Amino acid sequence: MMMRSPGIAAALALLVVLVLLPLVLPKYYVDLVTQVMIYAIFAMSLDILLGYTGLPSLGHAASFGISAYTVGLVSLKVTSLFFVVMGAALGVSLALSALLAVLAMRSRGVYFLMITLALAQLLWGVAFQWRSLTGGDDGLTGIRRPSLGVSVSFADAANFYYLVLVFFVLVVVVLSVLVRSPFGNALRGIRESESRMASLGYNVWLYKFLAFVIAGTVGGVAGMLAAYHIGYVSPADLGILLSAKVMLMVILGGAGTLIGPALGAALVVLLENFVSAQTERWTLILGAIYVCVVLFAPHGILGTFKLKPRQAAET
Amino acid sequence: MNSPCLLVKDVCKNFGGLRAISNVHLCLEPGERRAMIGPNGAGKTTLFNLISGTLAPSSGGIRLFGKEVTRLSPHRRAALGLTRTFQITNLFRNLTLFENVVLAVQGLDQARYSMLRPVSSYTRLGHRAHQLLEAWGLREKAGIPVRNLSYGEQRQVELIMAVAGNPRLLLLDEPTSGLSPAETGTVTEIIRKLDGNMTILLIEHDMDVAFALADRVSVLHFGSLLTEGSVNEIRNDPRVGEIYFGAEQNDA
Repeated sequence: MMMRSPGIAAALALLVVLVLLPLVLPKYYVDLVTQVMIYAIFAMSLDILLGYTGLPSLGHAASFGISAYTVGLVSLKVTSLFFVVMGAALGVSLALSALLAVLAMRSRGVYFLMITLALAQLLWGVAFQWRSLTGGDDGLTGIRRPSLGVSVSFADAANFYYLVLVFFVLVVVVLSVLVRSPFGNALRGIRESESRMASLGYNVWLYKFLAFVIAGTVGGVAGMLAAYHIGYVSPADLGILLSAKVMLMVILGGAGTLIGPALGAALVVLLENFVSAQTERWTLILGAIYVCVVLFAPHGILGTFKLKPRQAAET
Repeated sequence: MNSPCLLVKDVCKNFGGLRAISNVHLCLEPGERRAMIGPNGAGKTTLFNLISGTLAPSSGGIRLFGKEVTRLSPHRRAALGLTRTFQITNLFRNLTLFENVVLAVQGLDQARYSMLRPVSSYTRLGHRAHQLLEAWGLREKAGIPVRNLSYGEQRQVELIMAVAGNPRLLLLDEPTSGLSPAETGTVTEIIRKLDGNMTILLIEHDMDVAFALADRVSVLHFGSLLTEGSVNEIRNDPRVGEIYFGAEQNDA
C-alpha cells in the first residue's frame, strides 16, 4: 500500500524514459533494450509461478520456445500477418502449458522441478530430431519482422522497439493487477500452505493450473517477440540453459516482487552483452554476482530492498 | 434438527497393513459440541483428515449436513460449511495477519477467482477481516507478518481463520496444544463463546479443556471408538482413566 503511489510515479517516469530512449540511443543499444524487455516479460511470467505460487519450474523455456517455433513456422510457411502469427503462437503456448500443467502438477517441490525440466527437454529433443519440420540443430532462419498491414516497417530497430514496449507495458500492467487481485492473493496463499488453502475452500489444483497456463502464455509472448527480434529459432530456445537463466533472473531480482525479475533480466542481459565483450568467462562474473546475492540478499535485489521498511516498522 | 450435522458411518482407514481407524461411527447433532479424546496415536487426527477430506476412507461413508461427501475433495467440503484448524500451526507465515484473515474470508467469496481488480477494492473482504481482528483484539497487529506473532497469538489466528467463513461445522485439532495454562484458559473461553449454532468437534489432549467445552465426549483408542457419553459418564468411566494411565506409563 505504502509503495503504491511512489511505485506508480516511478513506473510512469520509467515509461517516459523508455519511450524517449530510441530518439537518443544508437541502434545497437535500442536492440539491447529491446532484448532486455523481452527477457523481462519472460522473467515476470516465471515469477507468477516461482515467486507467487511457489512452483519452481525448470522448464519454463518450453513455453518460450514453442511460441518461437510457432512464429517461425507460421511466418515462414503460412503468412506473415502479425495477428495470425500471434494468435497461433499464443494459442499453441497456452495449449502446451495446459498440457504440461496437468502432467507436472502431479508432483511438487524438487520433483516438480525435475518433471518440468524433463518435459521441456523432451520438447528440445523433438525440435532437435525433427529436421524436416524444425530444421533440427540449424533451427529456422530468416524469420521476417511482423507486418501489421500498415506502412510501418518493423525491420526498423526503433519501430520494433516500440512494438516490444507495447507488449512490455501490457504485461507489466496485466500482471501487476493480477498479483494484487483476489486470484493473486490466493496464489500467495498456496505458496505458503496448500493444505490450509484447501481447508478454506480454495480449489488449489485449479489455481495452480491457471497460474501455470497464465505464466506459459505470457512466456509465449516473450518467445514470440524473441523469434521476431533475432529472426531465428533453435532448439536452445527450449533448452535447460534458457530455463535456468530465466530462473536466475527471477531469483536475482527478487522472486515474488514482479518488477524484481524484470530488473534481474536487465542485469543478466546487460552483463551478458558488456562483460562478454571483455572476457569469454563472463558466466564466472554472473556466478559470482549470484553467489553474492544468495549470501547477502537472499530475497533478491528488489526483495531485500522492499523488506527493509517493513522490518523497520516491526521493531 | 432433521439430519445430523456430521455422520461418520463405519469408517475404516488402512495405511498399508496398519489399520489406523477401525469401524468408527460418529453422529453429531446440529449445535452439538463434541470432544474427541484418546491417547497419542489413537487415530484422532487421522479421523479429522478423513472428515475434512484430506484422506479418503478405505471403507465406510461420511455425510455432512445430510449430504454424501465420502469422495468429495477438501475444498468442496469447505464450501458446504466445514472448516478445520490444524494441530501444528498452519498459517501463511510470510503474509501479514491482515492478509491471512482476508484469504480466509475470501475463500468462500464469489470474488475468489477474480483477476481484474485489486483485493483492496473489494471492501466487503477487508471490512470483514477488520471486524474479525477487532473482535479478537488483534487489530493493532494487522500489519505484522504472522511468523512474527507469538505462538499463543498464532494459535488464536488458527481459530480466526477457521471461523472467518462462518462454518456450520468446525473441527478443532488440539486448539490449546503448546499453550501456557493462562493462554489455554483464554482460548478455552474464546471457543466457549463461539456462536452456539456452530457445531464443533474438538480433539483435545487436555481433559480439563475437553470437559469444559463439550456436551458429549467420544473416546478413541487404537483406532476404534472405546466409548461415548456425557461429560460426567466419561469422567467416571474407569476404562478411560485406564487407557490414559497406561499411555502415560508407556510414554515414560
